[in-house]
Amino acid sequence: MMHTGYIGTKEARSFLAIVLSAPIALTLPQDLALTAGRAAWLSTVVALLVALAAWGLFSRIAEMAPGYSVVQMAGVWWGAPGRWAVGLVLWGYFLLITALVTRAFVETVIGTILPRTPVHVVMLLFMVVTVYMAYYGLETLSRLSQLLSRVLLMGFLLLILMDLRWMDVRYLYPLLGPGLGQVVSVGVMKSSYFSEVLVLGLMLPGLRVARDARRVARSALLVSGVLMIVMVLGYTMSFPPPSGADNPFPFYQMGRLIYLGRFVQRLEAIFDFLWVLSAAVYMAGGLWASTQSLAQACDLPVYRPLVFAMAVLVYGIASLPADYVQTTELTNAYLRSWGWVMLVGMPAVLRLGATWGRRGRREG
Amino acid sequence: MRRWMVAFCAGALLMITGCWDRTELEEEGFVPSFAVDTGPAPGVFIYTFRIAVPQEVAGSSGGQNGGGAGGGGDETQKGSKAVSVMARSLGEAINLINSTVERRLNFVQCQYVLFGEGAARQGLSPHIQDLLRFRQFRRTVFLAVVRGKAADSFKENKPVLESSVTRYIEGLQKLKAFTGMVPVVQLHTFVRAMEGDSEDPFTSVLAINESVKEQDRRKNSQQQGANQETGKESESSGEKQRSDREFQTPAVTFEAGRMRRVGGNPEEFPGAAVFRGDRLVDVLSGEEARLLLALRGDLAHAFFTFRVPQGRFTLEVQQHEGRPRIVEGAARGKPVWQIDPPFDVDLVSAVGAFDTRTHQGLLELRRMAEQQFDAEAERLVAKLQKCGSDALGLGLYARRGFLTDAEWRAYGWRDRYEEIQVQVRSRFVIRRIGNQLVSSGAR
Repeated sequence: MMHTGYIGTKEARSFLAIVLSAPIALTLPQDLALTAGRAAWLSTVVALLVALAAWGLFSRIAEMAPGYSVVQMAGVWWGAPGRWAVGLVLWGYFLLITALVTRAFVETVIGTILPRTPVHVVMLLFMVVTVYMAYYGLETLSRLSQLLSRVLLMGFLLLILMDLRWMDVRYLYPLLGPGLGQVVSVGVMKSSYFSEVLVLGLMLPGLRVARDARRVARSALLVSGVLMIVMVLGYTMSFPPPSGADNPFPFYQMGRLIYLGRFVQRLEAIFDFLWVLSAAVYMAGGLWASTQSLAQACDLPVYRPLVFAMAVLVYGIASLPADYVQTTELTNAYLRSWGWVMLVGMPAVLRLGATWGRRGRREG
Repeated sequence: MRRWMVAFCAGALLMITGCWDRTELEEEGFVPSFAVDTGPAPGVFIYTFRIAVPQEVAGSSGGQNGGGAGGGGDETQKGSKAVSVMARSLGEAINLINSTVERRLNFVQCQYVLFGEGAARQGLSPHIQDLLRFRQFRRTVFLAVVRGKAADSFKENKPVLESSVTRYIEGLQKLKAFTGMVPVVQLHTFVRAMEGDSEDPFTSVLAINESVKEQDRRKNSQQQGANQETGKESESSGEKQRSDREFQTPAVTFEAGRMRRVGGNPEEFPGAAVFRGDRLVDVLSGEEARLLLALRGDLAHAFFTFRVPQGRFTLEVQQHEGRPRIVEGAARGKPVWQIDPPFDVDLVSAVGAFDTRTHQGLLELRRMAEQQFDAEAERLVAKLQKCGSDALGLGLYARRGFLTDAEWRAYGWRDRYEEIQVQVRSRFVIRRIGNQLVSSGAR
């Protein structure tokens, strides 16, 4: 495997945090409002705890084979079949999620800013940018993320602050909303929003200090989790159920709500710019992850030739849903409801594999 | 490879020279406001669009002309033209209007939407759904109910100071913070209350004062006559007659459309329209609207005048502490709620035998103010309970005592709301006494 460069802890953390937080600008608040009502923020807390626990398991595995990616680890423990299996599962997952999220972002752009522009034109322009970033790899992506992270964070906090006048804490009551059982089950289900943390499993060989992986993941999960909780809280207090569940573009609507008098209003264009930036990083990250997982599964020395083929696949799959409603239906009903199986299942399987693999080698 | 990249970049540049969503300002007809009234049959409505005429807006500061298709040439129509059409939905109305107006109607600059009383009593939900879904409308658009026909507001509204159509409603919003009698509400606030099960919406009321309208009409005709015949003398005598007539009845009223006044804008805006769900159920006076805001904790600033046997005094009140404290209790098996709205108070006028020099005297003044305020506020709550509107948002307080939605639904707030006995215990904290220590009658 040829490494084009290493990335530092901060860069890796920024990249991962942006990738994990990007769904905030999509349907995350609305999806949670629909499934957990006014207790959506509690479900997000549960989801974060599940994600942290899953990563706790994962980091133990990373320590067993430092400097190896999860696909390479599978190869070490189970040979080529294991490498293929894990690589293809990750490839399929990242390919699907990137394609659906790409389509959702494109449809959001069309639904809010460019209603008459054909979907393929917007998607093509998005793809050009993401292919460029994915082609130049993790180093480019993570450094760009490091630059963008402060801007995005400031923008997000500004949005919440400017919408404070609409927020009413009384809309959070009754605190448990649909009931404790549903809050917890939705929390577990929606930990799927953190499943992209698996991208770190592919980044492990690129980390300058391999043992920092645990710290990178934990801080990225905490940052994105807190941002998600703040967003869901702010959204529930300004768009309480049932309004909150009916809003296809929650982040954009929050931007549109800003009204601080005659001169400070209509500021959503600033926030459009921010979420398009985070979308570009997310999509490029997804494209890079799917390409990397396939390259590692095939034990290829370089991944770059695959970027264009993957981009065509992403483009093709993203074109399959008929409209925005179907895209979000598919995303929320499958990927964001069952993604937790990947989040928890992948580390669990690898952990078992590591134990058996080691035992087998010892016995052998 | 490099050649291909250059060719690709050149091609990409061609693609971004324009976009499908470009809009030429010269091709758009911006609608700063529109009105919805009931039509001759159920499901049919009259939509009146006020379309901005940019050239006239630019020249309106100096010019006197303007004129609207709806007839007029009034101050409010300076820079805009009103066109009405009968249709079954907003989309249909836009299409119909665009069969007579030469530019595409555009609502991205829409600042406010007016609803006629009839449409509001039938239920605003269909119209609100139109506004929520159509991307050109923002949730920050202002809503108001017009007593009678909403379209009349466009015809008769002649602001005293404001020349811009859009600034007019923003001016009203400022008044909300100054008098508390104009509870202007934005679409988002209205929708939250309308769709929720713990509160009901309210909004401000506009009305045409027929008496002022008549005065205005007569004044115009007399002015024309005066110009032709005797000049200023007959004009001033006509004005005197009008004010004599108008001020004969000694009643002070804060009801929109019924204020006793001479001159100014025929349109007036004290009061609130209160809803149950999406239906208008009652219209409050300006004084009641102020109490409504005070009990909700939304009264930024207001002047309250109290009349007592010793004389009268005026307090300038501000609500700095936000929402009032609400204590839920029970007496003889019935729920009893106590609302404690706090006010920061400046004494701005005391005419009569009041002791404003001692702390004890101020406490007495405070007691009198609180007593009157509490009695009026309790009457307002009873009125709202009678019409079934929880415009105070008491349900939002009630739901704090429940853990789950199922428990809250089982409680049946709507049925219990009217049974609650509400006691108001206001707190007027007099902090400043103005520029005089002693009131005139106390010497």
